[in-house]
Amino acid sequence: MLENGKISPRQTGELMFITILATAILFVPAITAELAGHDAWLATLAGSFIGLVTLWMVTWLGHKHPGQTLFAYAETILGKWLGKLLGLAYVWLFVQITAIIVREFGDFMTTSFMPNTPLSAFNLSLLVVAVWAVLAGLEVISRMNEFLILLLVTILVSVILLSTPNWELTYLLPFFANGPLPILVASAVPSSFMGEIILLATILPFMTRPERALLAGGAAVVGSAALLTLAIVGSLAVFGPELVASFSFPLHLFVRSISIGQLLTRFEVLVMVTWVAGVFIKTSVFLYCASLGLAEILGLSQYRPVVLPLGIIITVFSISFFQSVVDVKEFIGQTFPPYFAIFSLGLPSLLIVVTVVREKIFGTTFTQSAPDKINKG
Amino acid sequence: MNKKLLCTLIALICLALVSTGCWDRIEVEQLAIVRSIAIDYLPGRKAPYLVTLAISLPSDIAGGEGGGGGEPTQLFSGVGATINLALEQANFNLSRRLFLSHAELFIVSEELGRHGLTHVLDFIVRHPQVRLNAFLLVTPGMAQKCLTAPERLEAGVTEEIIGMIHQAQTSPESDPQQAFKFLRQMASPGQDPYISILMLSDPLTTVIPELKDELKPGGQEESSGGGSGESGGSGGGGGGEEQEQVLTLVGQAAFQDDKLVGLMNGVETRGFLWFMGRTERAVITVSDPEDPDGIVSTHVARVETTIKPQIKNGQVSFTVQVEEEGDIRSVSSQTNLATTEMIPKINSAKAAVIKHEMEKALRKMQELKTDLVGFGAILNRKDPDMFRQLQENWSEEFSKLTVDIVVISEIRRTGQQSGPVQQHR
Repeated sequence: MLENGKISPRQTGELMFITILATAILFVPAITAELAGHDAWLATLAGSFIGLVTLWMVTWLGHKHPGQTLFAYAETILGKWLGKLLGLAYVWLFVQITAIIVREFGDFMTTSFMPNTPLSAFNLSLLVVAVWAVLAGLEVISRMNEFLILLLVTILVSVILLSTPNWELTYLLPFFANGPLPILVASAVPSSFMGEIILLATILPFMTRPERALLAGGAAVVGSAALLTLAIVGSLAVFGPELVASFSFPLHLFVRSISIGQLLTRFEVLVMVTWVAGVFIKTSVFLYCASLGLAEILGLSQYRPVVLPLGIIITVFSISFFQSVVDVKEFIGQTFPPYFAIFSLGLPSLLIVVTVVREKIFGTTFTQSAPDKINKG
Repeated sequence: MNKKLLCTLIALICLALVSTGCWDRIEVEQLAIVRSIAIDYLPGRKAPYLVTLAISLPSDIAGGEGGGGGEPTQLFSGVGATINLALEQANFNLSRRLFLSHAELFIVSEELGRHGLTHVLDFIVRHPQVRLNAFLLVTPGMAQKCLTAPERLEAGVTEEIIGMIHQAQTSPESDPQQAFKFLRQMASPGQDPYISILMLSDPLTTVIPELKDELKPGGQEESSGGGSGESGGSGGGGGGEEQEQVLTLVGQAAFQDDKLVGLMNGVETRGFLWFMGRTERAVITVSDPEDPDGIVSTHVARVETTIKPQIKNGQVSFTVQVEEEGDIRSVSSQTNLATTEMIPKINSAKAAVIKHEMEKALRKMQELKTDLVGFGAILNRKDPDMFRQLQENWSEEFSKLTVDIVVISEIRRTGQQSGPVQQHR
């Protein structure tokens, strides 16, 4: 095994929760409000169903091939070369997403807090920490996350509650004014964030009790969708759908608008803390999965040698992928959802179909494969 | 020198590089903390935006006792084709770097309002330092002048105005709003936004000639916006004299999108606020039912307004029901009001006064074609399809809208005195 550590189902769920939530909470409100207006929060709920579908496929595959990661069972199912190709595609996807996350992080920090600091300063420092965390292993990231999740959830929930004096809930009415179509269209964006549960495919074999994966992942998807929905309801109630759609980072302005008495105000620093913490976890998890996958495909005995090179590649990508924040938003809103759907829905269902076909028609049995067979390729 | 020590030293030096802190770090002493921003529009110029900044020294904000002497607030101005250019020009006079995070107040002139606020609003949202919970105010005349007004109770002019805003939020003659509330009203279909009016008005010493000789400056009289209704709308006035003018926060400016289309005085604003159910503490006067010369002042303690749209044969109308209750605060006649016959009479008289006030405000809004109440938004919530048909020219529809106003008034208490003041006969 490339990873010797084990994490509990609870840790897995928490890890997935933060991974989904960290960037979703900053970008989803504006994009869904633009497409679905005051029904944006319903779009998030709709999007979480797609996350659950992905989750179901991932756990089905995981239980079919116990002890194997996505990259290992892709080879068992599709054969050596096709499987490696598919694995490489996933590694590429993870690298790409990590680069996007890091870029979003840098853009947010430069837009809202430190406009004169170059983007590379943020991106580089984030990746240095993430590479360090990944080198330390999955257990360390999970335990770090156990601490951060408390901070993050407490701050987010309390900030949303503090904003309630500004709420004008009538902005959420009427429901379904434009019919269900805009909601479904808008749900593509949150669903692509929820689809990040696909990462569970690489983490599942390292759980102490893999049979609990569905529960842990489900809690993560539902929990993050709930908090995201709450955040969107809050932003809509404070600003109304038209304004939310026009803002770059609605949550940031949402927090800035809080002033209770003249004392309880300026909470945006707290949001920055949660954002930095969450993005750190998210980047680490993605980088970890990419490194693990690459090492597995290349047949290395350790994943650690590839972490730093991948980190450097991601740093460069994070700066060179996009020209401006407009590109980032366009990519997340337009290009990314269908592209990501291939990986979160398309390829897993392909693997399931091939598994079923091979079992039913060719009589191959997968379930018995011993856990330590993986490394023999 | 062993290797270990060398490694430690190198590590320590690297750490020192990291620990220098933020790239954008700047000390408080190097900042010019802007507390309020007044923006004027000078039409016909290439650089029409005149921006005036009220800057407080941090020692004055934090210090309290310390320091002493010197003006607490300094004004800096600049003109430019955009606000940012004007700020840049103001920067030429500054010894410190501008810092806008503590700007709590944006005062725009009526002229700028009529030109359109898009640029100001965009600046407020887009600038990384400016906050959306800053208050917006409109002033007739030059906005800059408001910042030159002398502070009377607070440390600086910004604190003075902020204090007035907090006062006004609990009183029924104006409803000062934070920028994001204005923005959301503007963005919301079927609703038009408004901004409260801050103005410099002449103190009572100049309005009432008899006072002139008696009182030198410093008279604490202020037009308290009471029941008689003369308080609002006195506006610019003469102003030629050397008399110091006082800041007054009363009334509101009605907007259509980002453009100011009309001013509403204190009474009209209160009429409007009845629609919003936000007139607690209003003083309503009715004449004594027994004695035509007597005036009864009543105080509003609770208000509840419900607005319901009705659609009949494709025609939209609204019913506004105001339920209000309060006390008697003063009586200028000898009538005993604490009887079961008198209270209902006062109730109905009070309801009529309120209804009249509301109708006046509604007529004004319909004249200006600004749906400040958000009747359109209410209709949209109730019947989105109906509203979609009317949305295109809602302001026209609104100006012809039928609104039934029903006011239910209740006097609950008569104050510490039940009967009239006792006189020896």
